[in-house]
Amino acid sequence: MALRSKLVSLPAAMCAALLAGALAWTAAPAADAAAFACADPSNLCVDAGGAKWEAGKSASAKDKKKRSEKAPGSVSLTIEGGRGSLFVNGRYAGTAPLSNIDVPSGRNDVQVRDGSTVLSQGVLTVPKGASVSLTVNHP
Amino acid sequence: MVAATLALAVPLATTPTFAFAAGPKVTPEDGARKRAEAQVLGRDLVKADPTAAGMHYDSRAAEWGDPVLYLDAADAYIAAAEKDREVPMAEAAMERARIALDLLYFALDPAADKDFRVIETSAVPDLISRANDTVAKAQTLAESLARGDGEAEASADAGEKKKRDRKPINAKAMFASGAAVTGLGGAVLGLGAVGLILGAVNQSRAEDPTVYGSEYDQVAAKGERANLIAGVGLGLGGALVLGGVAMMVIGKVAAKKQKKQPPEERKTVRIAPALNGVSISGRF
Repeated sequence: MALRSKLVSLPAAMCAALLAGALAWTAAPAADAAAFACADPSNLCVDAGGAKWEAGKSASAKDKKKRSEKAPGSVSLTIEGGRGSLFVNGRYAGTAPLSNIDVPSGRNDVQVRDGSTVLSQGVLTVPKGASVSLTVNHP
Repeated sequence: MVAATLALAVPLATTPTFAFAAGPKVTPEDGARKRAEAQVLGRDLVKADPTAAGMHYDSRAAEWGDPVLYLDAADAYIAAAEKDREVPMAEAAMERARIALDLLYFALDPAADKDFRVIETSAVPDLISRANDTVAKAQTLAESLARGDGEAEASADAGEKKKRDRKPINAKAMFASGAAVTGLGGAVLGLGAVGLILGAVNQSRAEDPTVYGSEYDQVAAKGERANLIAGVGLGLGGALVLGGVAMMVIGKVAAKKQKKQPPEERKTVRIAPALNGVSISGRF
């Protein structure tokens, strides 16, 4: 009797585990998508750090003078749905994913590109000492 | 293991070490000088350890964001992928070539810092072409390695090479040669037999008490010569007959095997009359 109950319960447990696994697998992408969705028309979203993003703009000569490296901020970048490199103030900053790249506080020219495709471009105002998190949507 | 470490190291390796505020001016000449220094060590490393060369180029490329050094890193990783048959190496090569493309297209963008140029703008189109070729090559290699084509191709090549190395036996020629050698052996055996008979005759004459003096010496010399002919003839003839028979057997077996092969694989020789005599044709 005990042997029979083991034989019955083992396949049932396996089926339950498979079902739970399948449910978790199908639910996971939806949860990720909800967490990283960036619906901004400029393809760039500021997730944290209180930075201001102005798409399509470029820093003026006055902005360039005002940039401060004495109390720099830092930028982290994630690209959703693809790859790309970050350029800050006309120079290569790194290829995503990036974490805590030092950038001067103030208004910085930012461009994210994948080869010939510019994913996002504009001015990112970084507060002094702030840790800014950016998510870029790869179309 | 190295590949996994490398894959994890990509973001770190691709982070430049310079600041993004206005710094000292960098010209293409400065870039070329710094690149040449990196390439001296890199070229030596590629031959000995392509993975180490790739990592060396990676770190040096990241210092100023040099697209040429990223392409050199990609080439080194391709060499490593081909050597170690590792997909992550091919993927690392692809990513380095893509970083080079990011840098090259950005170099043409008005947003690029005019005071920070590591390459001449005129060199960009050629480098873009090189980068695209490298991406395509790395991608093809990664797909091929993922499918396991390399190993299959390598083993197929080895098998084919083995087949090519073993030249097929010309069965008819082998049989004919065997027959000829057997015939020759038979003739030499016959000579040996003649020597044996002559030796026996001379022996009986030498044992005759009426034969003595110079006549005996002549009979003894003839007998020795006949014995030598008998020894050499029987020995050599026997060996030739044995060898010839063996060749005939090999030829026969090879002919049987070749009959079992499909017609296109069979090696055939045709001898036919021609205008000027005989023509020999066939598949070899």
